[in-house]
Amino acid sequence: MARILIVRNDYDLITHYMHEWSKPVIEAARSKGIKVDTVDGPHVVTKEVESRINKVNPSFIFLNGHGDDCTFYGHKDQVLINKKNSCMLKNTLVFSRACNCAKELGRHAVNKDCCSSFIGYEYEFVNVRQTDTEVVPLRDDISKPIWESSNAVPLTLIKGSTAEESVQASHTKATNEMSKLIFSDEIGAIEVLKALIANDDALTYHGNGGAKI
Amino acid sequence: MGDIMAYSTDVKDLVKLRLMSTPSNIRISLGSFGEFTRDELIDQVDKRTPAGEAAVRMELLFIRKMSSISKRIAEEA
Repeated sequence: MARILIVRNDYDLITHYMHEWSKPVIEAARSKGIKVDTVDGPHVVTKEVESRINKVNPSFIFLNGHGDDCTFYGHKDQVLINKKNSCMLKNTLVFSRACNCAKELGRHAVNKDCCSSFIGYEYEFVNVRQTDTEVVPLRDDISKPIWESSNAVPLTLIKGSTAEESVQASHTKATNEMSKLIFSDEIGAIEVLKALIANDDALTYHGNGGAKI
Repeated sequence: MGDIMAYSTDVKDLVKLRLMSTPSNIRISLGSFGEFTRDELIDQVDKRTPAGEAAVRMELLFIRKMSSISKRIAEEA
C-alpha cells in the first residue's frame, strides 16, 4: 500500500491556511486507500519529521510551511530541511508548498539524489484574503482559486499521475480560475488573479518528471 | 525576469499607482514577508524592502503575462 507523509506547520495565518487546505488532500488520499501520516504544529521539527520518515518510508512527502531559497522551516521558523540534511527526504517524491524552496533547496536535493523529484515554488507563495470576514480558510471563497490550484499538484499525484503531469494539472486549474477572475467584478478578484499568476509562474519541478507516488 | 533590486523610480511609481486600486479590505500575504494591506504594501515598495520587491515582481509579472494568459485561456476555451 502506498504511504504518504504530510507535514503541516500551523503557527501563523498563512501556515494555518496551508494546514487547513491540506485536509482535502488527506481525504482524497484516504479515499484512494493510501495510508496518510501527518506531522503537525509544534511537532514539525527536524528530529520528529526525520524519525517519522524513517519509520513509515513514505513514497511522497508533502511539506507545508515557510521557506526560502535554501531552507524549509518548521515550527516557529526553526530550520527543518536545508542543504546539509536534505537527504532525510530519502529519495521520495516531494511537493513543497513554501516560498522559494524550489530555487536552490529542491535543485540541490535532486542533484544529491536525496529525492526523486522536487516540486515547489521558486518565488513567494502569495495568498489574498478579505479582512472583514472570519478567518475560516476552507470557507474563504476569495482565496479558494489559489489553494485549489496548488492542491491540484498532490491531488493529481494521488490519482497516479507523474510529477510533470501534476504540475501541468496545476497550471490547467490555474488557467481555468484565471479565466473566471478576468471577468469577475467580485472584490479582490484582480488581486487573486495577480496572486494566481505569480504562484503559477513560480511552480516548477526538478528531477524525474516521471516520478509517481 | 530582470533585476528587481534595481527597479527604477518610474517602475516604483507605476507599481504604487496600481496598488492604490487594491480594495482597503483586502490583505495580501507574501509568504514569509507577512501579510499587508494596500497602504502597507505601498510603503514597502517605497522603502524598497524585500517585501516591496516581491510586490513589484508580482505587478510586473501581471503586466507581462496578461497577453500570454489571455492566449492560454482562449486555447483552453
